[in-house]
Parts: sequence; C-alpha cells; structure tokens
Amino acid sequence: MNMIAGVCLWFSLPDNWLGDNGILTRLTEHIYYVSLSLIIACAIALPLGVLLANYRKGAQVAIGLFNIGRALPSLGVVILAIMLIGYETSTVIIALVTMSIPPILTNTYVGIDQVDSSLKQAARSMGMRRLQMFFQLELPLAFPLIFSGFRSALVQLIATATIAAYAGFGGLGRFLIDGLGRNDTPQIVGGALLVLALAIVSEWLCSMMETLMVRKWQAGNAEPSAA
Amino acid sequence: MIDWSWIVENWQQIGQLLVDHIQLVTLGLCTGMLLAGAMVLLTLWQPGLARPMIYVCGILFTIPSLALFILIMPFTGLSKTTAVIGLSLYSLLIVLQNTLAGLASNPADVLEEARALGYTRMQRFLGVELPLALPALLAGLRTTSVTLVGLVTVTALIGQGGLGQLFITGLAQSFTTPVAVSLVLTVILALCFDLLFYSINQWLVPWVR
Repeated sequence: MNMIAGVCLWFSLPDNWLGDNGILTRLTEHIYYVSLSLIIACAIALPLGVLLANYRKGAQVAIGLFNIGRALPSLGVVILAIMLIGYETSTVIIALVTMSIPPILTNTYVGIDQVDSSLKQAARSMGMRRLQMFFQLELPLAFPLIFSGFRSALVQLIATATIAAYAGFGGLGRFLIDGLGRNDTPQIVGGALLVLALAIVSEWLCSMMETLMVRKWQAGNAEPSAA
Repeated sequence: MIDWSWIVENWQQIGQLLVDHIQLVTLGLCTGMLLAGAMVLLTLWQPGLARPMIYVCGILFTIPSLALFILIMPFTGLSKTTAVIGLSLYSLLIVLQNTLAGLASNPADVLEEARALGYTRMQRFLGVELPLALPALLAGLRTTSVTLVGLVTVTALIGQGGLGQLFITGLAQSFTTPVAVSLVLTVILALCFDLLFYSINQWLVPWVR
C-alpha cells in the first residue's frame, strides 16, 4: 500500500510533470526519438524491401543478414553506438534505426513476394503497367503484413528508447534509470507505468489505423482486398 | 579497436558470464513453457478462454522489457528471481500465442474423425492435436529463445544479465572490447539456440517440408 501511495504522490506533484526534467519533457523526447527513428527506418526499409522482392538477386542474403540483426541485443547496440560515435542525439537515433529496420524490411519483402502470381498475371493481361500493378494490387495485398512489421518495430522502438536512458540520453527511461540509482521506488514504478501506457496507447492507435485502412480499401472495392 | 589481450586475460570471466546467460535463458524458457502448457490445458477445459488469452498476451507483449523488470522489482528485489519471472513471462506470451494459433488451425475434419473413432478429449489432444500443432509450438520456441537471449542482456540493468554485464563494464570504463565481445557472443548464442530448435523441429516433425 505504501508503494501505491508513493506512486500516486509522485504523479500528483506538479513539479514532476512540468519543468526541464518533468514527465512532459521526457515524454516529448521519447516520442521524438521513436517517431524520428521510425520514419528513417521506414524510408530505408520499405523501398529496400520492395526492391528486394522485385529483384530476387541477393534477397536471401540480405534477409539472412537482417535476421542476424534481429538477434542483436538493443542495450549492446546503443552502448556500442555511443562508443563509436559519441554522445549525441543522432547516436541514439542511429542505434534505434538499426534495431527497427529488420522487422519492417523482412515483412515488406515477404508481403510483396507472397502475392499470388496468378493475380499478377491477371493484372498484367488486363493491361496494367508495372507501377499500376504495384500500387493497386501488390501494395494493398501486402499491406497487413507490412503494417504488422511496422507495429513490431514500433513496440521494439519504445522499449529500446527506454534503454537508451541508461547511456545518458533523455526519454521516459530516465525515470527508471535515475530512480534505480537513487533507490526511489515511486519514481521507478511511475516511470515504468508511463512507458507501459505509451506502449499500449501506440499499439491501440496502430490497430485503429489498420482497421481504418482495411475498411477504406474494402469500401473502395477498386482493388482486391485481402480480407 | 579490439584489445585481444584483454580477451585472453579475462576468458574465464567471460566463460562464466556466458554460462550465466545460458542458465537464465534456459530457466526463463522452461518456466515459460510449463506455464504455457498449464494455460493450454486450461483452454481445453474452457475453450472460450483461448481468444481472451491471445488478446491479453498481445497487450502484455508490448510492455517494454526494462519497465516490466522494474515493475517486478519492488516484490523480489535485485535478484535472479526478478529476472527469471520477467523472462518467463515473455516466453509464456510467445509460446502460448504460437501454440494456441497452431491448435486453432488444425483441420476440423481430422478432429472430427478422431471423435468418430471414439477418442476421448484427452486422447484426442495428446494423440492428434498436439502432434499436429508441434511445428507451430517449435516455431514459437525458436522465436522465444532468440528473443530471450537478447532480453537477458537487459537484466544487466537490474544486476543480473550474463553477458549483458560486459556492456555495463565497457560503458563504465569507456572500453570497446568487452562491448564488442559481448555483442558477438550474444548473437552467436542466439544463432545457436535458433539452430538447436530448428534441428529439433527437423528431427521431431520430418514430414513438414
């Protein structure tokens, strides 16, 4: 009970919310790290995945390499990046991007690659050009898989951004690490609850977005829908 | 960049950490599997529970690892127990999700045939459903083991962590070698676990592919 009261007290103090080291600043930092890395990772992994799916050469090797990347421990990647590049915001972004490319790339490749070849032939015989085929057939069909890659990257990013605090960066992880250092249980638990809330809210937003997209494609009915 | 003499001097310590790492992964994996088995049996008794279980697993899996370990800490402290509870929880989530999905995708006509042949519920589960779902179960274990090898390093932040402790040492001393050694060993360990479950899969269910 004592702990719960302490956590409530921690959340109720306005100083903990505002100010340079307050919850709002940390939350903004966390979202900034995550969204920037996600955008960069998508910008790299999506076109690369499409490219690999179209030109099969080297695809297996690339996917294999990225699967090894999946086994990389995030703590180690963040720390190694700091030692090689130094303490800068770009360091943590580079580490986070490295961590989130594999799920997006693999899912994009598999998603585009598994599109039924008879459908592709049908599209071609209907006179669709390559680009039309990509945007109207392959992309909608691969979308659920690509999006699930995006989601797992997002979840992983939120977790890894927490760990980056250990190496001295901002973000919600600061509360966890600083709390551990000072043995301040309310702060630790409060911080953990905040990260948890962020993860669950973003996961919920993603599932809303997916439902909306699928509904849009089904309503338009111009493309064959996956469902 | 790499100080080879450090590796030679400290190989005993590195080996000890590697053993710790494997121990933590195995403990987490086994406990998670036992829990998942118990929950699967629960769904046999109450089939309606399967869907909410998968849903809850999905939500729980989004919890960032460090936050999870830290939320367990007020109860069990900076101990190995904390690490093992967190790791088992993660493996429970992945294994349970895969197993339930595998069981759900079993062809209905086969299940009906089993019933027509007079199998009891338990016989059908052990003799028909489980062997059919084995590939999914093993795929789950494969993913879990690779994930756990990475997750164990995070427990270095709560005083455990096997090879993860080398990250902490390296950062504290601004010394790249331990970090690189640990990174390489972790990836190799993950690949070994991956290969292990892949071979078990080939050996147990050679009829798949």
